Amino acid sequence: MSNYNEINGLKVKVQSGDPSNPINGQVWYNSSSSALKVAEIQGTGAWASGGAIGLARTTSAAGTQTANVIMGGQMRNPPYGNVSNVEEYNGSSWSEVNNTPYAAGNVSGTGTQTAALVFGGYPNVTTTAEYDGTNWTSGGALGTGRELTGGIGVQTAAMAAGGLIRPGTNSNAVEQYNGTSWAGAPNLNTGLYGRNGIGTTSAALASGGQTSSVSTAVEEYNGSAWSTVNARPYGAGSAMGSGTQTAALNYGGNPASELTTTVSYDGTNWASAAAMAAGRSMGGGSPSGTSTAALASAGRSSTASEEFTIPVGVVTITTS
Amino acid sequence: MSLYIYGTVTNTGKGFFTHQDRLDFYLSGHPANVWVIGNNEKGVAWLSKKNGVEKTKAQAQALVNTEVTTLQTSWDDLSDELKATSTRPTNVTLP
Repeated sequence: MSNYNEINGLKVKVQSGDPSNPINGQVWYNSSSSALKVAEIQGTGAWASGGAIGLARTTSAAGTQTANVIMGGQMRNPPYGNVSNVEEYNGSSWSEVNNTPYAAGNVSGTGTQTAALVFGGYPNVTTTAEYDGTNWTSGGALGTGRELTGGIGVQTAAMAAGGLIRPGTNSNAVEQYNGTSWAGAPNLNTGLYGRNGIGTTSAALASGGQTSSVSTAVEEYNGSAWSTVNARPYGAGSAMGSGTQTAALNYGGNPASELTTTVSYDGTNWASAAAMAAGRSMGGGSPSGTSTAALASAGRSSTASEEFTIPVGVVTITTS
Repeated sequence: MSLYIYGTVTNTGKGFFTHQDRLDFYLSGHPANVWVIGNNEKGVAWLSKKNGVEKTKAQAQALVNTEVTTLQTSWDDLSDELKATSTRPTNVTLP
C-alpha cells in the first residue's frame, strides 16, 4: 500500500477547517468534519477582464496574476516611442511606480514583483536593471546585446534565451545571470527571437518564436542541455506565458495579427485552452505565476488585461 | 438566427467581463471598442447591461476598418528605427 509521506516527503496536515486558498493537489485532514480532503482543478478555465493599465505598450513582465509588474517597452500607437514606465498590479488595479533606468523597445523581463529583472532591447542593448519592488539598480551587462530574448527564472538565477541581434541574427545563444553578472550557458538548438521563457535555470521551457516566419518549436532545459520536445500547437513569436516547465500556459503572440490562442503544457503534451477575449502580443505575462492562474497585460496597442483562472475545488477523499 | 451580435462598448477593466461570462457566451474584442458577442440570451443581456450600442455587422466592420486604417497611416509615417521594432497593423475581419 502506498504511503503518502513516502511519496510526497510530507505528512498530511491536520487542521480544523479547509484552507481558504488551496492549490491543486494539496491534501489535508479536516478534523472538524473528520474528512481527508484534496484540492483539485475543476473545469477548463476561462479568461476574465482584469484592471486596465495606464499606458498601452509592448512590455516585459514579472510576477504572478495578483502581484505583477510590467516594465518599460514601446508605445505602438501615436505618439509612439520607447518608455521607461513601470506599473504594478495587485489583482485589481494597476499603479504607476518608479521608472526603469533605461527606455528601450523589445525588452525582456523575469522574476517576481519584488525581485524583478529587465534586460536587453533594441538595438543590441546590453543593459540589465534590477527591481526590488520599490527602487531600480543597475545589474551586470549582457555579454551580447539583443532584443526579444526569452526571460527565464528569478532575479538571482535568470536566463536570456535566444533573441534577435541586429542587423539580423536569430540567436540560439543563452546567457545565465547569478544576480551580479551574466555568463554563457549551453546554446539552444534553434536560433529564434520572441521565444516565451518559463521556469528556472535548472528546469526551463522555451516555446515558439520567430525568424522570418513563426515557429512552433519548443525546447526544455535541464540545467545542462536543451532538448527539443513536442511542438506547441500554434506558431507565434512574442507569446506570453505563466507557470513551470511541467505545468505551463502560453497565450497570444504574433504572426502578423495578434492572437487570442491559449494552450497548456503538462511537461509532455500541449492542449488547447480557452482563448483570450482580445488578441494580444508582446505584452506582459505572469512568469512566476501558474498554469491555473495567469495574467495577460498590455501588448502592442492594448491597455486591457485579462486573468486566466481554473477553479480549484475541495473534494473529500473516500475509500469507495 | 445569426451566431453573433455586434456592439461598441468601452472595456472598463476589472469585472467588465467575468470568467462566467466567457463560459456563457462567445466574446471577442477588436479595435474601436468593437465587441463580437455570442447571440444567446446571456450575450444579449451582457451588452445591454454594459450600456453597449448594438451595431450591424457591416457597421461594426466599418468602425474597425477606420480604426485600423488610422493606425496603419500612423505606422507608415514612423521613422525607420521605430518601424524596425514593430510591424504594420494588420486588417481585421470580424467573424
